[in-house]
Amino acid sequence: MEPDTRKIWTRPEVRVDVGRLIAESLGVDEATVTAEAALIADLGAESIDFLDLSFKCQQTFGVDLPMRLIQERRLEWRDLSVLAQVLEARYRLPVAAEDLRMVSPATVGAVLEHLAAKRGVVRAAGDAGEVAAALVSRMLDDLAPTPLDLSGLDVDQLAGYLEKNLHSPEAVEVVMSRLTVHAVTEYLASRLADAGRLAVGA
Amino acid sequence: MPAGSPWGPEATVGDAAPRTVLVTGGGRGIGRAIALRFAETGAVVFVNFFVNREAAEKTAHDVGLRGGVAHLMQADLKEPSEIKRLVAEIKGRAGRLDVVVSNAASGVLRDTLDLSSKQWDWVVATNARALLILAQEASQIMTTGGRIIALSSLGSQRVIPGYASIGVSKAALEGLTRYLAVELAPRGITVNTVSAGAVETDVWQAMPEGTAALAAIRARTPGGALVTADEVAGVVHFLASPAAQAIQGQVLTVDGGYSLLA
Repeated sequence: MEPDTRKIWTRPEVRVDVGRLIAESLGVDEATVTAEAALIADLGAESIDFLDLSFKCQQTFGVDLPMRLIQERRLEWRDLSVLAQVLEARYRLPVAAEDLRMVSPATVGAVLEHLAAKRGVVRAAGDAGEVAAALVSRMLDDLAPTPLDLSGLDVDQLAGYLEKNLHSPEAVEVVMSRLTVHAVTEYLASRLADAGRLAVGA
Repeated sequence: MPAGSPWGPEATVGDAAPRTVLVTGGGRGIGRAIALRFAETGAVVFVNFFVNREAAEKTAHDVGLRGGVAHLMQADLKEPSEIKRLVAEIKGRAGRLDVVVSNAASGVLRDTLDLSSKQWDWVVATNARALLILAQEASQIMTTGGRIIALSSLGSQRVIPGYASIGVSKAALEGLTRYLAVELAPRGITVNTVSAGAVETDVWQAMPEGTAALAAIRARTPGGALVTADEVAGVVHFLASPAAQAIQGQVLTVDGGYSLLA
């Protein structure tokens, strides 16, 4: 079925339908789908639920809910290709992510020690913190086109998590907690507005 | 061979109309390769996809470049009503189906004892029940020479850690292949399954240690090379050809010999 891409939506309509679709996809009571509820932490969403929700949103609104984009970004963090790019830019030398994945423990400090030993990178005071901050900055830029609401995120806290553990579950949790019902609603409303399908003033 | 035969260069039949082919999960990976393979023989290819419209649009575009005609069909194959709608739309557009390739698959990688009933139902409905409903619906608009071809994997027979839901769904699909084959054979329709070895698609990138696992599989494969999506597509295309009319209810393993070794 091709979705109706001519319908003009009002913001309240978007809000109501997003709530309904989330309740359907996740199999939860619609009453629990409050604006501030986080899909994963509060509503128990898992990967298959996001696929279902993405399909339902496409069919209902005719715009994509790019949940797979978040998944792709997470994979890039996990395989350290984003870190490799950050290090390449900082030290102006080619860095292979697969090389970084061999480093143990998976901390920024250990990676920099590895580069110092193997590639002659000169360490400086506070470099691990700076690399972690640059990594966070890059990750947040990468996530900007997704339905995550990243406003007001504690960047220092996030960098602290990643400096100590490049696969930090706390960092993932902090970011994914920004996937709220409100954030999904706003994302879809903005896509509809971009397509000229959100009623003016709605 | 008659000029412009829809069956491709290997064909000997005279039906001049292009073949109508449905490839579920046709936007990416093996499904995409299958769609493109049929496009090379001028087929009308219905490219079904679930959520990745961008990939499906690219495949549809490339089907056109290869000489086929593509129609995009978004559907959630875990829902029987969606499959019925899908086939009804194909009937409305093309009037018939010659080849159904049941390729779409979804999975949850988790130990068997940790699987939730929701995850189980999702995977089995998408991977196995979809073939049942597809066959029931599509066979109504198929005639003699029709083909139903499903895709399976080695996890249907062997234990792969974390693969229980997918492996068992594929085992069901392989069993279903045999039952459907016997029931549809009198109508000249064949039903077969291709069980593919590991193919390097983006699915593997999404798996923890997927790259390392592929390297290990490559090293263990007698020929030293992974099976490619194009190779799998070639076998599917052969099963859809007149030459394969006598192949009925079989699970054909395409894994470069990987599963031969103890």
